[in-house]
Amino acid sequence: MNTQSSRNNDRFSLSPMHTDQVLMLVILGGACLVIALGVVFVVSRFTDAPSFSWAAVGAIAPWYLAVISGWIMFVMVPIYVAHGRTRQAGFVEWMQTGVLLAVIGAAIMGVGYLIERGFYNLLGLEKGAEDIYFSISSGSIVMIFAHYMLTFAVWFALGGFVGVSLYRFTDWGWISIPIALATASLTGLWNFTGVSIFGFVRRLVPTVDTGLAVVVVVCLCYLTWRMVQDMSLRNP
Amino acid sequence: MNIEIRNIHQRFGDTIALNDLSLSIEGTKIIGLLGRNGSGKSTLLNIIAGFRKPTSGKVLMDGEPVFENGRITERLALIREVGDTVEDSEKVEEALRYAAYLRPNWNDERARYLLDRFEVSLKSKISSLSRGRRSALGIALGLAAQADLTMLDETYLGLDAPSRYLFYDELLQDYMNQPRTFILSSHLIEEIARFLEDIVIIDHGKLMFHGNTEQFVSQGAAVTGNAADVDRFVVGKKVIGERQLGRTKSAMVYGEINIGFLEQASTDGLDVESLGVQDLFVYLTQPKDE
Repeated sequence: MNTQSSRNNDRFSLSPMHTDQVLMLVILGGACLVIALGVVFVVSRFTDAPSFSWAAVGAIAPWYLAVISGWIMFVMVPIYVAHGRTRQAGFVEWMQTGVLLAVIGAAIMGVGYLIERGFYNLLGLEKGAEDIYFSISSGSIVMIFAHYMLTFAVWFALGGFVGVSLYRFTDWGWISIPIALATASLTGLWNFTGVSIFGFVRRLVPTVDTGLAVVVVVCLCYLTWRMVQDMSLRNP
Repeated sequence: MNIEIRNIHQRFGDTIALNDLSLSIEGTKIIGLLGRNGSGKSTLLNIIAGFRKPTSGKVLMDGEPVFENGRITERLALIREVGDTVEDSEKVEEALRYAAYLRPNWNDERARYLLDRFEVSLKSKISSLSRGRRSALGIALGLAAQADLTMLDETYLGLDAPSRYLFYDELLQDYMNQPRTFILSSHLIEEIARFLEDIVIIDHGKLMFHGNTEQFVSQGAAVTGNAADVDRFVVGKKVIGERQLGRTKSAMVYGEINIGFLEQASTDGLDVESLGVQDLFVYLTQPKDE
């Protein structure tokens, strides 16, 4: 049965989840860059130009990715199952989205730094001697890209873990938030996103334990999968 | 298409929602799933659709397990109440976009046609839709999915009477144009009884009846007449309900209503009327103390 005329079984078509999230990230990243440069320009008219205005965006971005990830797990994966897809298929799309957002988000961050530096140079702004930010080399841009990619991956995994915990265990799911934050803080990326925003490049890039961060991502993804694999859909 | 439900047991804490329930559904037909509130209807549909893994037992479709089997689950569609295949903050057209991506047999033209018939705007935000419009969206998504087994769990409760009749027409149209199996769970039994080919009744998590609708209806009759005559007549028969007004009494009898039964009633001066699906269902499932 089921006539083929209406068949739409192209599993290679682009996922709306991927396209929507990537598009939103690019739009938000662009908007944040414009705002960051605008702040630098306006403030520099009255006082010393702030260094690292783009870094403030870098501090917010991981939280954005965590929320998006949690939303996908909490809202979209159940919708996938309700539409006849498996939990595994939903989980795989969640992971693919995480990889896409981490890579593209990190690229946006790196490009943002380069543009901001160019903007400072264009305005002929002075900068503090201790700010190594202004001596960014192409090598350090690669480091920044890697650093952000890893950070985004950790926060995306964290968000998914919390999202599925809240979906599956409702009120008890809130316990997952301190657990996830404690686990993520093991990576040493915690200071970067939460406490110390400015000067992070100098202070944190060399000290991030990449191996530990990867282990945390894998562990959070594994725990997320264990909760997703036989999760019951809530009643509407 | 064949659905085999084997010894399903579902427990929620101390509550047993389904108790060792087994059932087999074959062929293409429209089936009514009936049961009182809390009887286990929705739980059963959730398990058939793979929305929930049962405590024990299994569901097979064409011999393959359903749960987490993408080849099978893509052939199933369950729309619950006002629909949970959509995200509230989206617009209706976004819901169609996701359905088109996720449903292998999605018929976009049919979905848009149905939404137009139910006067649901594609540009509307789903959270702003009335309960009735939201039900209509669920119905459009369910029918346009063109799944081999489509289950509608109280989906049309939010619809007003004209919209419900429109839904029944569209359902029958779908069924005739592309025969497949539908399971309708509803409390509006009289409305749907006319096009149900099979009936499944669940009571307290157990299968009470599964069979052809005519066969079901033929098993119930109301015997009316003088109270003493009625009492005498029903001795040895299964009486599922009684009503009395003065000396006139009606006894609802469930069992084999054959020629001998009718001739005996006629000889005793009693009237025999067949019971409708809803009356039979009510009498069969009412608590013992009512």
